[in-house]
Formats: sequence, C-alpha cells, structure tokens
Amino acid sequence: MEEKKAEAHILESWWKLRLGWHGNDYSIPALANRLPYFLGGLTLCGIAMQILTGIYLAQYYNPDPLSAHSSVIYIVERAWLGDFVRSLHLWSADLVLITVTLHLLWVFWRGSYKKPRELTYWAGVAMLGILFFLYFTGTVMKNDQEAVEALAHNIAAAERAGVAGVLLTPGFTRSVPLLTRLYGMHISVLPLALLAVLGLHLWLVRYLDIHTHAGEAEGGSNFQVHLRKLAGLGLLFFALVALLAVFSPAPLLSEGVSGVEITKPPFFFLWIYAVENFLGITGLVVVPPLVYLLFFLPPLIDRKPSPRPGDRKLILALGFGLILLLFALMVYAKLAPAQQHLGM
Amino acid sequence: MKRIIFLSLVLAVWTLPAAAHGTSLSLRPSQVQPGDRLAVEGAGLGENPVIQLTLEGALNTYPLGEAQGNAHGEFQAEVLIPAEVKPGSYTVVAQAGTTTVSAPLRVAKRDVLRGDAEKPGTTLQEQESTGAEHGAKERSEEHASLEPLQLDRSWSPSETTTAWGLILLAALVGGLLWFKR
Repeated sequence: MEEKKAEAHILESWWKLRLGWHGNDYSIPALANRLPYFLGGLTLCGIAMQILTGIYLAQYYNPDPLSAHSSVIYIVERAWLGDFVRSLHLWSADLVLITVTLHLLWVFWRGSYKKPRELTYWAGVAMLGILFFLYFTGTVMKNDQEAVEALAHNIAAAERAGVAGVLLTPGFTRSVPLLTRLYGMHISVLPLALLAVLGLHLWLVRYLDIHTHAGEAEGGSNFQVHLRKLAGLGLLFFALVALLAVFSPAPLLSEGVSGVEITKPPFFFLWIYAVENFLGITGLVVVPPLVYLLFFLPPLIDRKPSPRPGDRKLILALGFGLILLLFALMVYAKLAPAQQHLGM
Repeated sequence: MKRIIFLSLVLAVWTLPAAAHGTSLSLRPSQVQPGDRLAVEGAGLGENPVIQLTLEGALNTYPLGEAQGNAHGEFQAEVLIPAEVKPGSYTVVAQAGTTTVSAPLRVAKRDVLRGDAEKPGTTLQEQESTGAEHGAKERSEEHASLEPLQLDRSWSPSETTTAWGLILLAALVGGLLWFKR
C-alpha cells in the first residue's frame, strides 16, 4: 500500500515538474474564490465543451445546403450518442452566452476595466462578439426553418452593409455555397480568433493580477486552490448542461422553406428582432454594431481612478440602463407576433 | 535503418490488395435530378459478377437495380433515379458478393437544374442557398412549419449508460473538488 502511494506520488511529481505546475503556486485574494469570480472560468469550461462536442458533430454534419438538414436528422436519430452530443452543444452554447454576459456585467460593476486593465477588458468584449457570431453561425447550420430565415436576414443585412458585409453574401464567390462558407467560419476562423483573443485575455489576467478594491485583502488564497475549485465547478456545470440535454433535447424544425418569415431568432438575438420590427433590415445593419461598439467605451469615458460603484453612478446608470433596454426589447419581441422584415 | 525497411514492407503489403484490385466506378452525369437516368460504369468486381446497385443517403437507401458484369469484371448499366429521392449528397454503391465499389452523386432539386441554372449570371449554389427565385414555387409545393420535427430520439442502452455515467461522474468529482477544504 505504502509502495503504491509512493509510486503515485512519483508519477504526480513527474507530471507537475514537466507541466510547470509550480508556476500556478502564487497568492491570490481570498475573494477570488467567490462565485462571481468563476464566471470567466466557467465560460472557458463551456468553450471547451463546445470544442469537444463540435469535433464530434463535425464527423456527421454535411455542410452542403441540400444535405445539411438530413445530416442533422442523421445525427439525432442514428449517430451514436448524437442526440445527446448535439443537445450538449446547444445548451453549452446558451450557458456560455449567459456566463460571459454575467462576467461582463460583474467586471463592469466592479470597475475592473480601469487602468491598467483596459486591454484585458477589450479582449473580453472582442470574445463576446466572437461568441455571439459563433452562436449565429451555429444556428444557421441546421438548415431548418429558423436557420433559413436567419440566413436570409444575414444575406439581406450583408448586402446592405456594402463592402463590410461582402464576405457574408452568396455573391462573394460562386464556387462555394454561403452555408458551407459559414460552416468554415464556424469551425475554423471563429474558433481560432476566439482562442487567440482568449490567450491574450488569460495572459493579461495572469500578469496584471485579479482586480481588488482598496481595503480588500490582497492575499489569503492560492491560485492552485482556485484552479481546483474551477475544475469542480466546471464539472458541475457539465453535469447541469448534460441534464438539460437529457430532459430538453435540442429541437429541430422541418427543412427550411425560403421566402417565408414565421420564426423568431433565439433568445439572445430577440432584441435585434425587435429593432427590425421598428426599423426594418436597415436597423439590423446599423443598430447591433452600434450597441456592440458601446461595450468598448467604458475604459475611455470612465477615466476616474476610483473603481467603487458609489463613485461611478452615472456610468453604471447608463450601462445598466442599456442592458435593461435590451432586455425590454427581448421581452417585447418574444410577445409580439411574428413579422415580415425582408420586404421592409 | 531496419525499422525503415520493416515499415516500408508493412506499408507495401498493406497497400498491395488495393492496388491489385483495380476497382472503379464512374457515373455520368455526376449530378442528377429525381427521375433522371444515370449511366453507371464499373470494373474490378470479379469474373462475370452479378452487381447490386444502390443509392445510399444519410437517411435512406434506394435500390437502383441489378447489372451483369463480363469475364473481366467490367459492367455498364443505365439506372433510373427514383422520383421520391430527396435532393442532397448520395453515394452510388455497386456490390458483387463481398466486393463493393462506390462513387459520390449529387441529387439536385428538380427546378434548379432545369431552367434557372442555365440563365447567365446565376449559379447552382446561389439558387440553392438563397432560394430567392424559387420562393414562390416552393411555397406552393411545401409548407413552412414552426412545429418541431417528430424525430426518433430513443437511445440504445449503451447511449443511456454512457450519458448518465458521465453526468453522475461529473457531478460526483465536481462536488468533491468544489467542496474540498
């Protein structure tokens, strides 16, 4: 028994030495082990789930517009564990958008975007944009009614956006269908961009340390403890996503019919649908990029050194006012009847 | 050096049967519509083989008929693509005994190939992905639906065991790591 323990210890030491595990042995504030400080890490766990389940789905998915929908049916009905893995992919995408948004709100509330963490914040906002675009391209992949309508809106907006949208139009190239190119983006360009920005974000978090307010204890815990807790929370997160996948599997509508508008987009895009109700396709071209740009502004307009919420009432009111407005638009769009936008 | 020679021999032996067989299957045209005729030509399926031809898709397999090969294993046949075949990517499979040979085939929408594709300035993929020009026709033929498809979501015992095993394991290990002092 003692011999086995000693062998296990030798093996553990061997790995830790080669992985440079001692590099994680540094002091962090005890408050970093509170739940809101795990939101970024949980997003990372969700992204890992996305990559793993995505690789599995890619073995069965056919991005040819004529075959895409039937290949999704094949995944659900015939591929081993396909229904479960596809549902894991969808639910983890939903939860990633929730955790990354909550992470952004927490950072905004704490004023953690202030000097010298502006670049860390902007890298995070860039990732938010990439994650939303990944979600959109993923929605289009299934080629059901919701997907066909989403693609038609994408084409209409991209064509109005001129040069800025040319990559997202069918006319960009005659050699590959747009759906196939969006699939290419979904599995290569966007994940690579995401991982590059994520690397920068993590590197900055490591070297600039976790942000604390004056008066909050700087030490009290260790990063290895934080990593262990994150691993635990990540596994619990997986268990939650998997339960959702079992009890509420990802739906699939009938193969899409073009030229009709009867569906609404997924929850996170409903505010854009509301904007389209008021402003038509032009709203789709103008408003989302403007709203996205607003997310980059806090480090530029809130330059007072104090990060305390009490000293930043105006920017907090503006920021949470915007979030409230977006949420109100989502509720409105959910309740409003389906509307035709492409002719507007 | 010995290793390289050994690996080369293994590789040579491994690739030998494939080279020796010389099986082939060619289709004309490589893209058809439901109801079209398809010329199938193949070789390497043994002496005087009786060949079963099938059209295999992700969800359905359609029998295309039988063909008789000659003493060299070569055959030619003309088959009809069933009218009920849905557009998409398929594989034509020729099987004689245990030997099979296959080739990819694309089945296009009926009105995509005839008519609009011949218009200058339009391509097949544009019409398939946007569907703008076919919207009216499609709307009269098909009905857009908000109802989720009724799919066969039954799981095999191995799928159920794996999924629940993963959930329980993740919850157990996750709980231990999170609550450990």
